[in-house]
Amino acid sequence: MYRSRRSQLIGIAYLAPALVFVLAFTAYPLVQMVWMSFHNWSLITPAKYVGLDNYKRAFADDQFWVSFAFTLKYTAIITPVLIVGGYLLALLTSESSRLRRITRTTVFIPVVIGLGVSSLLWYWLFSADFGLVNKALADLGLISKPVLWLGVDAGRSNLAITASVVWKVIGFGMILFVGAIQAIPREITEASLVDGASYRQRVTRVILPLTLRTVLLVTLVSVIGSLLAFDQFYIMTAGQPQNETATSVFYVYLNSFPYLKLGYGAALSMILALTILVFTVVQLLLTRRSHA
Amino acid sequence: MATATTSRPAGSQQTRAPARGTKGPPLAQRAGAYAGLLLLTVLFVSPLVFMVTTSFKTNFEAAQPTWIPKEPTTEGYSFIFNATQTPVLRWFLNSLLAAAGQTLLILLTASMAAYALARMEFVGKRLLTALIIATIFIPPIVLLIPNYVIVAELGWLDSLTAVIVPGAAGAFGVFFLRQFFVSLPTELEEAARLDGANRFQIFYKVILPLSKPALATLALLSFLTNWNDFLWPLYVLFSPERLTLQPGLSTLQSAFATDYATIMVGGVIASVPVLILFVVAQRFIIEGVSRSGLKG
Repeated sequence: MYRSRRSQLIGIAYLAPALVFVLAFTAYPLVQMVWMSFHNWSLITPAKYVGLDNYKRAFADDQFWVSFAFTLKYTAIITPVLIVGGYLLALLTSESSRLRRITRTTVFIPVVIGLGVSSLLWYWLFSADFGLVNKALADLGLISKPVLWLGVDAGRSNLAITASVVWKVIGFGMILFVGAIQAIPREITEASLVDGASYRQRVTRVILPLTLRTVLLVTLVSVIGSLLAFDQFYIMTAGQPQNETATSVFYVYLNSFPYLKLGYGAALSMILALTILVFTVVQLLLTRRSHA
Repeated sequence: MATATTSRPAGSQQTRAPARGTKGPPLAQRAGAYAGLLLLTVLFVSPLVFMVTTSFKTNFEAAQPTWIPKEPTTEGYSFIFNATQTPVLRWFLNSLLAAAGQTLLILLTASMAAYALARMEFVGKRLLTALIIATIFIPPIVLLIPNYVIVAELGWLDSLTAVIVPGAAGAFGVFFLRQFFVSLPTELEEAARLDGANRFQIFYKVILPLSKPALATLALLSFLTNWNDFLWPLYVLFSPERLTLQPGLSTLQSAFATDYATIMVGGVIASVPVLILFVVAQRFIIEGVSRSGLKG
């Protein structure tokens, strides 16, 4: 009896440091977040209960919708590129040969550098007058005068930023797909070869079905990452033109800092978090079905 | 493996290419694949090469897209190391301290918690486990503003503590290590117990040494995540000498506008440590990144 009570305490003692962190910086903030979203608060002035006003205001706020729509558009453009592109890269590099391994490693390198650094780098590469992208396009005869990629037109900025982020993160999906493809049992591959399956048939009928779960998981991670996009837009367009390229997280940032509307910012984050939750649930349901 | 039977092509009776010796696509396709692989390698590595070569150019030459600097110079480096408004070396040290500090905190708290979850029984274990798991699904955006307020109330704003402590809370490390600990054979622990070792000694002298690969993976991942974090330090750090590298770099951008050589020096300084880590510990980093992506 004594022993067991003692070992109980030991167990909780070992868990305690991690638990304190989780309670202090995850559980409590989560509760506070909900509370804040029902209040007007600016750190300096005392909080004032406003009920659902922050949410009502958000839905009537033009910039909220501009940011939300832009974020969804960005996500809708980049996700297929990352998934299809990442999968093709994985098919290309999953077999073991020296060159394939080198390619795989090279494609993965940008994943480890910061998004801040890569955004600065691409900000320069996309610069209208000094950038290599315009230079290359001009040399190929595709453009006759410099294209103003960033901060002038929302659609063009979106394309340029998408390209830079694809470079930065496509290796992430690729490496997971490679792992899934390499985990396919040898016998299955050999059986399909004995049956005389063409390469295309092997891809569509063997490899893809057996790695579908990973594809769905990577899609989920990519979608969530894109819905939370911030760094690249902060650095590459600063929201220009007229906050048209300010993503949802960017708008949360604008409300918390320059404007110090913390309650409103909290409500905006809540809406974004619920959106993400919807995507998560849909994807998890899909994953479960594909697994059955 | 139900899919194995359905994967058999419908027209498999027909005689296509002979099975023997055709492991991959035909030769012409393979040549194309090799060309593609080379092109990809160049495409992915060249922006980084440009960043490095540009950092050795003068700001004037950086405006001209040449591969190799005509007159290589370390001007950009000496300029940036002496700039008082943008103390890049200071930011570098701050980033190093923050990333190392947070990594240590994560290793400590996560390994202890994982040990409890893997090897001990106690009341509320299931509930506490569920609580910790649940935090995996919370998108970080939700915690941004409340954590900013908490950090402000604790008086940590504009200090490294703010970029070390709150981010150390997380379920990923706990579950990653728990999974590894569970897979360890219990015989060694039994032997140690018979030799009179107590729980802490078993943890410290048996479990941890056996878990070096998992600890290394978690450490590298935590370090990289903290080193590359942008939004949170942007919230909590303000003074030029208190910044970490990532938000610091964005102030370089506003300070030097089109002095691309100077800005690229900053980029190189921020990337060199992670690239070195990648070269020496590639396997662990890839493992860590994949595991974090799939949430354990």
